Formats: sequence, structure tokens, C-alpha cells
Amino acid sequence: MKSELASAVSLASETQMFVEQWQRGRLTGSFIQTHLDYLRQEAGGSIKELDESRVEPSIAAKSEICRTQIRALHREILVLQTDADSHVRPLRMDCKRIEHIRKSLEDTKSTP
Amino acid sequence: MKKLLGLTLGIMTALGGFVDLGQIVFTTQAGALFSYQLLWPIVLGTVAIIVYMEMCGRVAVVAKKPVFAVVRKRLGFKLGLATLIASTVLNIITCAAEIVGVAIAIRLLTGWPEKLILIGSVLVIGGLIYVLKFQWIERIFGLTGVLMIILGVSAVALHPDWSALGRGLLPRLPQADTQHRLLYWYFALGIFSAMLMVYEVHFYSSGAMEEGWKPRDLGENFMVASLGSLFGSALTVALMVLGALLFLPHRIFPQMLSTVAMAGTFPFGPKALVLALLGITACIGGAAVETALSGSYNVCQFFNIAWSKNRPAREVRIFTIGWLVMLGLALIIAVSGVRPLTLVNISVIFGMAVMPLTYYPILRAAADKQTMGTHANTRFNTIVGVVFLLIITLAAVAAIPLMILTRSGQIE
Repeated sequence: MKSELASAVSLASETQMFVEQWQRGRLTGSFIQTHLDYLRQEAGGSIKELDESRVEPSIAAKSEICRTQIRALHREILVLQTDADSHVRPLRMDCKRIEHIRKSLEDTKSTP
Repeated sequence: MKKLLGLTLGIMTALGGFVDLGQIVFTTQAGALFSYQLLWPIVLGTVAIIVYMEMCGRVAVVAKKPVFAVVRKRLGFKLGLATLIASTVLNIITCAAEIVGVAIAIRLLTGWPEKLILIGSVLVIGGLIYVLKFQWIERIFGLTGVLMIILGVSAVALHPDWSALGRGLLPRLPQADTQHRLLYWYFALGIFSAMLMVYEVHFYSSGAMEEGWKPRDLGENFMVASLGSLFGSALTVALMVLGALLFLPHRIFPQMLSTVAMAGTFPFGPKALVLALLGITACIGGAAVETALSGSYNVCQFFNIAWSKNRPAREVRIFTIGWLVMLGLALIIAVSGVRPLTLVNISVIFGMAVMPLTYYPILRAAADKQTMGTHANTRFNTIVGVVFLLIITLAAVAAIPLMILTRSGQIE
């Protein structure tokens, strides 16, 4: 579970950094679309891994939060893909939502 | 000018070896986990590869013996053949990973579908190898790869802590639990191994013969090996700095080439990103060319079959079929959908096991006064070579257990 949480924090944090770079206009259109696709695949892979993993009752709550947040991240990435297809830059709100997901995952990771 | 262009062999060899897909992601991950603490394997690896590149270039020039002719002579047919088979399998796996890397970089540049780019890239790489003479292959990939310098500029622009960077030159165990320490050694070994990938010496020694170097060019051999490796090494350090400055504070463990490309031009705009992606394409493409050609060079040299990229394909049929088969097999693996980083992990860690069997014969041949005459190793050369061979052997022994214990470098 530790490893899955670390990966989830990393993915959320990376998505946030990417969206900030996109907002600053530092990326090309092809890069944005392709990288979003890779991020979506990564998030999808994490969801699949979490769904397939056997969870001990002691960490069931942690696992559930992780799963919920990764699903939320996956949804955010899908929204961002729609923005990219319409050549619209992400809003500050999009960034805030991703930041919230990251924080939630970090809190879950740091709780014993 | 000709001498300057001659440097491209060293640059292409080192960029294809140091700054290939594996090293790009691996070194950035190391920076993201351990900041600058793993700078020392880069320095150690750079000195080791300069020492052995110079030796194999010298043996190729003076004794007219490329690496696999030396391997067969020094290890005997059976052990030599085992080394050849292992090296060929590793070359195919590495070539497959690099082809996927090229496809990713081109997709990031163009947005075209990845499978289409995969096939297109192999056709373009194959076409370039077929049409171009050796010197032009190294010039195109070596010089375009220099665009990667943008990563170095980006790293400097982010104001790294130079004194902390300096402290990274000395090995220091992290103050952490056993798992973290094992990860530290796994990454130290991976970085060291990636810098000494055996296809670099296969390609370099064959390249020295393709370029028709003579004993009077031995000074150039040392310069080409050193400057090319130092340039590749500087880019590797830049990747570690980017990992430490951009990813470590945000707990990002980069797993994708696109993440590293984004970091590579972090302070700059889209034009810098395009340049970096072109540089990455050239470096990784260069690595694909190196591995495909090395595979064929090795087989021909081991069985004493005619080989040369500078001779018409009909005169060196087996050699031509050899690199075509290498590319074809790599493409099959690439389109199968295996994750490129899985392939890279396999090639870097298992590659370690083959290293002593490649570097030992080179050291023996370079030190042999009967074959090398006045160009044989000095005592100092041999001592340095032996010390690195011992380190390589120790690393080879530790590689697979570390891979198992850390589950291929998984973070927690």
C-alpha cells in the first residue's frame, strides 16, 4: 500500500506541475495532448492495480481513499484532455482541484 | 574541421550510451530520490568508460582487432560465444526500448499515433543506416544530439546548490532505513552500469576501424573518448540536478520520458521544448543505431565475417542482414506493448553481468606487449583498468540481488 500511495502522490503532483506549466504557456499543443494521454494511462493503470490488489482490513480505509482520489484524478485528466482538444488553457480552478487531490493523498500517506 | 568532426564518434557513442532512454529516466529518478548524493557513480562511470573506450580504440587501431575478435581470442570459443549470445540479446532488448523512446519523443513533437511512429522510425533508422556511410551516421546523430545541451542550460538556470553538488562527489550512505539504503545502491549501480553499457565499446572500437584510424591517430582516440564521454557525463549530471530541483521537493518519481522532457526545459518556453525533444530523439535514435549495428558487428567479428558500414551492402551481405534482423526483432518487441522502462531495467541490470566478460578481454589485449608493442598499456593504465574491472565485477555480482530486493527500484 505504501508503494501505491507513493506512486499516487507522485502522479498527482506531476499532473499539478504539468498543468501549471501549461497555464504559463511553456508547452506545445502536441506535447500537452500526448503527455495528458500518458498521465491518463498511468492513472488508469493505478486504478486497475488498486482494484486488483488484496487489501488487509487494517489498511482498508487508506486504500479506499487512495482509490477514490486516483479516480478523481483520472476524471480531472479526462476534463483536461477535452480542454486540450479545444485548445483551451486550464483554469486556476482545475489546478486547485488537482492540488486538493494531491494533498488528500499526501495526508493519507503520512497517517500511520 | 575534420578533427572536430572526428569528435562526433565519441559524442554519438557517449550520448547513445549515457543519455539513452534508460539513463534519461534513471538518473532523473535518482535525483528525485537522493538529490545529488548519487553524483559519484556518474564520475566513476565516466572515468571508467574513458579508460576502456581508449583501450578498445587503441587495440582496434594497433592490433586491428575489434572487441569481439578480442573476446573470442581471450575467452575461448565457448565462453566467447556465451558472451556473444548474451550481448546480442541485450542489444536487441535495448534497441527495442530505444525505438519506443524515439516513438515517444516524436509523438510528443507531432502528436501522431505511436504505433505508426514506431514503424516509421524503424524504417527511417534502417534507411539512414543503409544509405549513409559510417561517418555521416555519427555526424547526424552526434551533432543533433548536442541539442540536449538545453537540459544543461535549464539545470543551471534553476540555480542548483553548487556546494551540495560538490558534496555529491563523495559516496555517503543516506541516513535512512534498510529499504532506502538498498534503493540507494540499486540506483548507484544502475547509473554506473548504464554508463558502461557494453554496446558503447562495441560501437566505438568498430567505429575506430570504420574511420580507418592509424597508430598516429591514437592521440585523437584519447581526445574523442574523453571529450565525448565528458559531454555525455555533463548532460547526465544535468538530468540529476533537474530531478533534485524539480521533482524531489514535490515527491515526484518520474516514470515517463515526457515528464523528464518537461523538466528539461522547465524555465523556458515551447521553442526550447521542441529543441530538447529533437535532441532527445537524436540521442535515443543514436542509441538504437548503436545497438543495432553493434549486434551485427559483434557476430561478424566473432565469426570473422566481412563487415563494414562503408562497403556496399552486397559485399557485406551477412553484416547488412545482421543489423536489419536486429532492427526487425527490436520492432517486434517494441510493438508488443512491453513498457520501455521494464526493458531498460532488464538491459541495465542484466547488462552488468556481461560487463566483466567484455572488459576483461579488452584489458588483457591492451596490456599485451606482444600484440600492442610500444602501444601496450603503461603500468598505470593497467592498474586503473584492474581497479575498474574489480568494481565492475563487484557490481555485476550485486546487480540481480539488488534488483530483486528493491523490486526494480520501486519507491515507498
